[in-house]
Amino acid sequence: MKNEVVEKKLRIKVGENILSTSIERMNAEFKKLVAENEGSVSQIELDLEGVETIDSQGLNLLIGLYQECKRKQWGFRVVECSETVKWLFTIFKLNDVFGVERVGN
Amino acid sequence: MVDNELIGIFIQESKEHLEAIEPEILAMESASHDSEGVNTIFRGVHSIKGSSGFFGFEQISKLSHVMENLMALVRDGQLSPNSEMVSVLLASTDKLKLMIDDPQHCAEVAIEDEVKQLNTFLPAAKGGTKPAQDKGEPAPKQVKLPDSLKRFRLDPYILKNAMQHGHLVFVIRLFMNKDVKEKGRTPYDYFKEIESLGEFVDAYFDFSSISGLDDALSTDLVCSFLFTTVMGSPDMITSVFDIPAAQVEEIEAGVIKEWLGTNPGVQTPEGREAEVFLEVVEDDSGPASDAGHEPDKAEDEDHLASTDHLAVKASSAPAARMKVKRADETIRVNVSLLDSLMNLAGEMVLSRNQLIRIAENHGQEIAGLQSIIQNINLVTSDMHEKVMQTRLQALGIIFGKFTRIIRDLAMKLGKEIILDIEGEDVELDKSIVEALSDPLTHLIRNCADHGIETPEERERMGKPREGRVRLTAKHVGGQVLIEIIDDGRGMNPEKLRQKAIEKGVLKPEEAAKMSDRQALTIIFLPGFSTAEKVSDVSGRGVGMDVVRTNIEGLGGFVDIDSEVGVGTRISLRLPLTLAIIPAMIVGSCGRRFAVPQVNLEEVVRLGGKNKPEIIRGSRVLRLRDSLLTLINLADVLELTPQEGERGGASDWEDGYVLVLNLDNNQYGLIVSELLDSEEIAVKPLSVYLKQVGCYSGVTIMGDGKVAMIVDIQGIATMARLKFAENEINEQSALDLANQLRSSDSESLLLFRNEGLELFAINLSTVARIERIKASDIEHIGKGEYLKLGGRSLRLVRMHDHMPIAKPEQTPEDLYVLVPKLLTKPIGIVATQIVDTVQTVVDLDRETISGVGILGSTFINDALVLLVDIYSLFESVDPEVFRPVAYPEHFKNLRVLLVDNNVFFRTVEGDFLRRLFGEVVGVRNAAQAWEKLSEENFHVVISDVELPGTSGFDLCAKVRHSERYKHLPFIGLSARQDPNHEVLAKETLMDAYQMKFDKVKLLRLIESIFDRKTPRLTQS
Amino acid sequence: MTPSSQQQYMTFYLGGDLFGINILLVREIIQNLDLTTVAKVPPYIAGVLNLRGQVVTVVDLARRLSFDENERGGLGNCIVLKTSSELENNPTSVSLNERTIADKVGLLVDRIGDVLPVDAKSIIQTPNQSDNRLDKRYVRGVVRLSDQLLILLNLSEVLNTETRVE
Repeated sequence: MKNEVVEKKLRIKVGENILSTSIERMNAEFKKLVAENEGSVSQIELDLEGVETIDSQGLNLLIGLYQECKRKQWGFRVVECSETVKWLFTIFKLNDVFGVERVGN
Repeated sequence: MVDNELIGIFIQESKEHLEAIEPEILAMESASHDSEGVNTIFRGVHSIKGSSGFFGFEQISKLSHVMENLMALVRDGQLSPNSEMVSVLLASTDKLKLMIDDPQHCAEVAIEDEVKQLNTFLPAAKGGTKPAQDKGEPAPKQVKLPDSLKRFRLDPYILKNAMQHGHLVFVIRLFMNKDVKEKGRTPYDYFKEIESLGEFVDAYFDFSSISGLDDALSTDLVCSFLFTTVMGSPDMITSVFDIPAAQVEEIEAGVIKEWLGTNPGVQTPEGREAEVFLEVVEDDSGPASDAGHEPDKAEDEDHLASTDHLAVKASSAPAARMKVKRADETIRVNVSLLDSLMNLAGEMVLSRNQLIRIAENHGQEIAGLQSIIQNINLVTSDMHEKVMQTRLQALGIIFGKFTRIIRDLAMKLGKEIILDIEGEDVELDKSIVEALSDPLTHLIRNCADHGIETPEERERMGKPREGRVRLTAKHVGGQVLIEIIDDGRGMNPEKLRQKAIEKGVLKPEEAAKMSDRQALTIIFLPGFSTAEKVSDVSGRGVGMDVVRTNIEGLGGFVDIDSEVGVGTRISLRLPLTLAIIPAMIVGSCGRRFAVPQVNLEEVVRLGGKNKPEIIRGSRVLRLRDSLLTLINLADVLELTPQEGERGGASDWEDGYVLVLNLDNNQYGLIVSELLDSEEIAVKPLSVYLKQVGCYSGVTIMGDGKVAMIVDIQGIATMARLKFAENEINEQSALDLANQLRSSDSESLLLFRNEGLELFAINLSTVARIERIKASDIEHIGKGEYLKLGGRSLRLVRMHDHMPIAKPEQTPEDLYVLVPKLLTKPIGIVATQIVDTVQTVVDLDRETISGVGILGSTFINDALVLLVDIYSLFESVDPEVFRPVAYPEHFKNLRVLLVDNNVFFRTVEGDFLRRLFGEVVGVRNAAQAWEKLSEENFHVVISDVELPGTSGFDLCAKVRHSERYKHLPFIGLSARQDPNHEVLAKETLMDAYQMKFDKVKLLRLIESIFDRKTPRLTQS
Repeated sequence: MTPSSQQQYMTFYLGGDLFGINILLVREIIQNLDLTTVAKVPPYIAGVLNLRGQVVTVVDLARRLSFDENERGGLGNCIVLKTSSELENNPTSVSLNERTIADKVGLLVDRIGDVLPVDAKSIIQTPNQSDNRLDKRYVRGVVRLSDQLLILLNLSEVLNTETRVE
């Protein structure tokens, strides 16, 4: 996954749908990124541009990342959500939790 | 998981709630509102509030919440509904509708107005009643709650009510994978289940079960529900929801009560946005709630304790019962699934038909096959019928909205209108019901807009202030009859005619020809609108013509009846089902078409005796007593025969005529082949195909190929246009046929001779009619003469020669009828010219007879004597008119006399009978030809101008045939026409001459027979 | 749905030109056509066919776009489009700017091409090389591919029954 560190913020761009078929891989990537940047970042910003579908397993993954941040006392927010994804978060009462922002349109 | 399908279900269910609510809101306005209706409204908004909240559609939830508050008070008797409240509720319902159409964007819809207005009805009492949207308002003071409750949004009203009724409070936890996904369910399913068993309070997804990336994928996400229920124990919960007991937690009533005691406001959950809600609980979950106590109880702590027990005891059985009740009666089915079912059923019917046909030929060969096929036949028919029934929908679905429409319109127009609806239970196929929605709406609106007068106008007319519109539906003989009856202005046929002429929709002649009843249908003509300007109330560019087209497109009829000042009745007749109709499959130029059998009267094969004739340029077929206008399908559709196929022009010779009924008219549709009679599944036309105008549907044949279903009306219309192009007439082809039918009739001149008797002579025998004075008559010897055009005309007084009464006196003013083409001119005196009529003459030769009397007949119930001018003249001047001596051998001869005019046939026939052995008279060439083949004749005498085949053609035919080519043929004509002479020569007639000259005729015949060989020249 | 995302396009050939429509609008492709012609229909209606019991009206796309007769080629395939209600039931398609109609319609084309991803950003709105053969209202835009131009059809206009084809 594309990622970059800007100031103390780790921006991760997922770039694909978050489905159970790919989450094992994604999870591993997240873990790797978190480990790599331990100590040099204080916030993760997850860019969901291009992500149209998140299934139930995918949701688990995002929550996992969130909880991970919370444990490390990092900030966490999600940006560039599509309408569908934002709505999904609303259902799961996650919007305020994730500090969801949608940019554009 | 949560997905778009669920939103779809949410939208659907919410819409249904709204549909159930609206009529009840309207009903609240009239004096007779019942608590059941109020409850319906309450339940509806409550449910919408709950499910929208679950999905996170906050705006919808908010508005419905306020409505719910209001309804609770109404239901409890603390508020009385009035007109204003109803209007506000309706407006709020409209907003809900708007939001529910696109729930994900509901936040964009403004609801402040409605909320504010709803709140004006709410008493300020009850602390915390402000539904004002105020994010970030500090939460009411917290009370110590068990952890499990902390994350929920708690509602004092629901909980209070639950406590009052002794309901239990539970928290259930669902695991997304284990309990939901793997069991093939969704969280929404659980939500719905809870709703049916109790009160949904709140739900949330608990992601505290995931600690980080390490366990993210292996953790099963949990959703927690908080709800109250009548169910008495956790055991019931576990069995109903099919989840382990460990996931069900009962919250002690004491805990809740304690919380309620301290906090009248809403408990805001931790970690969530602060929003203030008020909820009033509806307690109507079934028998259990009624067991022993009433729903609307005032707060009463003592009472709480006692009802607790009652509730607990009574709850066990009802809960179980409730579950069963919920499951059986109805089931939700997707409409597209029903559509598929219907198509499949239709295909099944077609295949069955094919099977039956094939089995007819080979069924005997296989033992037991026939009975199996019989079984398949029965089952298929039954199944098809049942499938069609699934698609039946009650009209009430669309009728429901009309009350609202009338109410709104009435208010807007300042009128008072009551709508009575009957027959909401009448069922029709779903697609018809849907298709009726727009046309009926238009008709209803029209009624309110143009039909019903203002209250002042009505009072002036002595009518009650309120206008009454009745919308009824009922089954009548295999169809459904829907009527819209109003007691309003009615429609004036004369005004309609005027308007039609003004707008150029009708020509003055056309309009004048219409009866009053027909004139009412003017409103259905395209381009017509009775309003001066199209009021935006009823006109959306949807005209009455579109209404009629729509109804007819469904296979129905529209009719209208009206009386000025009294009212109007519009009737719609519709078939019960659409899909499968019996049809005749035909071919034209190699293509297949289906003709609906319902319009098919009979089929006639062309050729032999059935040959089309041309009358005044259009082709008709003589069918028994009438003329049938013919339309060749290949012509209308501009088809040319494909390779190796028959069709097109040749169809006129040996095609088939389908006699089709169209309202009160008939026409014959010519096709090349007659293939089959089948039941076909009617599939709707796409918009492209509809535009063509001559197809009413499309079907798939047994071999998988597509065939068009012909639109009887459309074809006639297109053919009519073609007639107009040919400048035959601008009347419809059918009118033409009516006219043509009249060529069997004759023109008669009716006159009197100063007596009561009515006389008639054939107008075509009259050269002129002169008006004279009695003093103009000269008397010479015994006779009377008149100077006319330089000649002396001998006058004949009928009573002198005919057995009729002699008049007392002779008036001064007289008429003289001068017949044509007599060698010696004679005129008949008459005292009064009565009329000229065109009629078919039914001659009675027996009753009244005598010299000068051809016979009698009745015309318009009056007895008319037909004058035989020849015998009359004979008696006047015997020398001149006595036939010369004739040869004896003529007595053995048989004459075939052909003339379509009964007068001439009779007169000539009489005359000829004196000469010949036998004279057979026929009306036309076809009959002549038939007679020739049946009997022997020695000579044919024929009028050259006959309907259909002319005398010339007949002669040509005779000359061309082996059998008859030597037959003497004499042509007679009533007109001088040089062309006729030419034709006579061309067709090899023996002779050709004018009618009315008997002497000449006689001489002619003599000379022919003396010669024995046919002569080619005219005598 | 953010417009900046990539969309998949079904492409096809008419004459020598490559056209495309959003794949979400496509129901299926039929290759062996058993077309029944219908008398008195406008010239751009090729006929109707039976698709598993449903009647599909087939639009002769080349005629509709006013192509010359001799530019046609290929055996003829039919792209069956989704109906408007099929689109509505699937919210992902709903947010497309394209609409189909309520009836079942198919497009008669010469050859089917590949399914290509198109980035919204690469769509050129008004093609500078104006194609005089094509009526511009039927074109939503063009995309430069590596070896040719992909013309994106404005399906709503193509299916519009009001417009008369000259």
